[in-house]
Amino acid sequence: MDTPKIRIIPKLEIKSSNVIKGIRMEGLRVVGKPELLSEKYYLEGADEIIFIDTVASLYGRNHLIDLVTKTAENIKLPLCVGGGIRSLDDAKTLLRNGADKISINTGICNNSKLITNLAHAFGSQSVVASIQAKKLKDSWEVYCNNGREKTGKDVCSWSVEVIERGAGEILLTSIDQDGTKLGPDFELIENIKNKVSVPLIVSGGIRNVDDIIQLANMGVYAIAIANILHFDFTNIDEIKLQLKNMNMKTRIARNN
Amino acid sequence: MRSYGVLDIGSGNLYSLMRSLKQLDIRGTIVNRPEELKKLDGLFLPGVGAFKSGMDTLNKNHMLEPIIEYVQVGKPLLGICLGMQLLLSESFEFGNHKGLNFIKGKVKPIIAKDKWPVPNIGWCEVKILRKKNNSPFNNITCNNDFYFIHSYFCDLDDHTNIVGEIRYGGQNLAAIISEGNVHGCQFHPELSDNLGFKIFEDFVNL
Repeated sequence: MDTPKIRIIPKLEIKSSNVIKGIRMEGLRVVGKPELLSEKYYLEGADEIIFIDTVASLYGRNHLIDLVTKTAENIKLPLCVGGGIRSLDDAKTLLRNGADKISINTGICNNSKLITNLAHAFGSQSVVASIQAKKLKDSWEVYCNNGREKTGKDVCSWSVEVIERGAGEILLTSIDQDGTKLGPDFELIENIKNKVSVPLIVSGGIRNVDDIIQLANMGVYAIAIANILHFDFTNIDEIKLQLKNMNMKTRIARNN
Repeated sequence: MRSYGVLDIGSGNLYSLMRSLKQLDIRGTIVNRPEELKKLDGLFLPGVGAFKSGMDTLNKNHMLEPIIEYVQVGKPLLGICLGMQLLLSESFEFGNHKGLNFIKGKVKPIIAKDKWPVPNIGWCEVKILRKKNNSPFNNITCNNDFYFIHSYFCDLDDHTNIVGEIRYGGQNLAAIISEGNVHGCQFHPELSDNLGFKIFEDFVNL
């Protein structure tokens, strides 16, 4: 069957000048330097790269800019940047300094009109709505401030709303699975996938290529990966070769 | 040293394009005044944002006539993504708007079958249909991949102007178009790794 190509997208969560990784967004371990890791992932054949400044929202800081510029100089790929974006000016600063897309969570939870304003100013294709979901009994709640704060919003209805307001993609993170290597929350993903027509980037819990294939079979073709790449359980080259061997469509980077 | 211009169409995030030119040692400057066009050896029409706001910015900067004159002199123009769509006669993005009309055709929304996502965001293989003289696309081989991000596509009146196409959601969509010295690609060479950068090299060597 003909399908879009699977995108493998390393997700680099950043705290001050380091890439960090936690479990369920807590107990953070330092992984390395963002500019070095992004170059490594670029050379391994990443399809895009995501940077998330994990503390920017909490303290209202925005010190990503130098880092974004430094990184953008070394990778010939789309770079999506999030963390601490509160206004059109915040977004413009990032887009003018090397980001190709911006990912936004807390800013739109506090002010949903910001999505529309961003989409009008920079085009929907630049606006990635980041949704962090935590499981309740039989639904999921939207969290902001990097998994620290409840919003009372329902993930399903919020997904529909962010698209109606103009987001071009959704980055859906399962807080419960994040950093656990226990597999994605397939039930959550299935629910959201059925409600939105825009590309869905899923994140949280990816263990291996089998998970990626299962997601692609559900119609999800963009996979954000952190833990198994950061801690060298596998690399992007290997993931892509395995996907190819399983007859899944994905890009194999060429260096000519 | 040859000099290249990147047209300012307002909403455009020009960083990645300028960075790629710099990495390739191509002297590129952002242009938004008519007199700047005359000195150029080649012109990029970049593109993110909406069709209408792109045309409005060119209009407001009094660039429409100068671009037409620039093309009539025979110097090369490369439209990227929205920049390629602006080359056509008209668009149906949020209403009906006139384009630059260098290449006859209409910009229409992608209606994808079988639950393929729209916008098309990601890497697609471009099938090359033909080669044209003085084209920056003549060195693209098979097994290529380029990065696309679009909700609308170019439906050309004359299909011989389609140099390359992709298969997306059950239809063939124009990925590369060329007519004379006017060229366009729906994908973003500046985000498409080495194969994308090669197109810029070939463009400045025309």
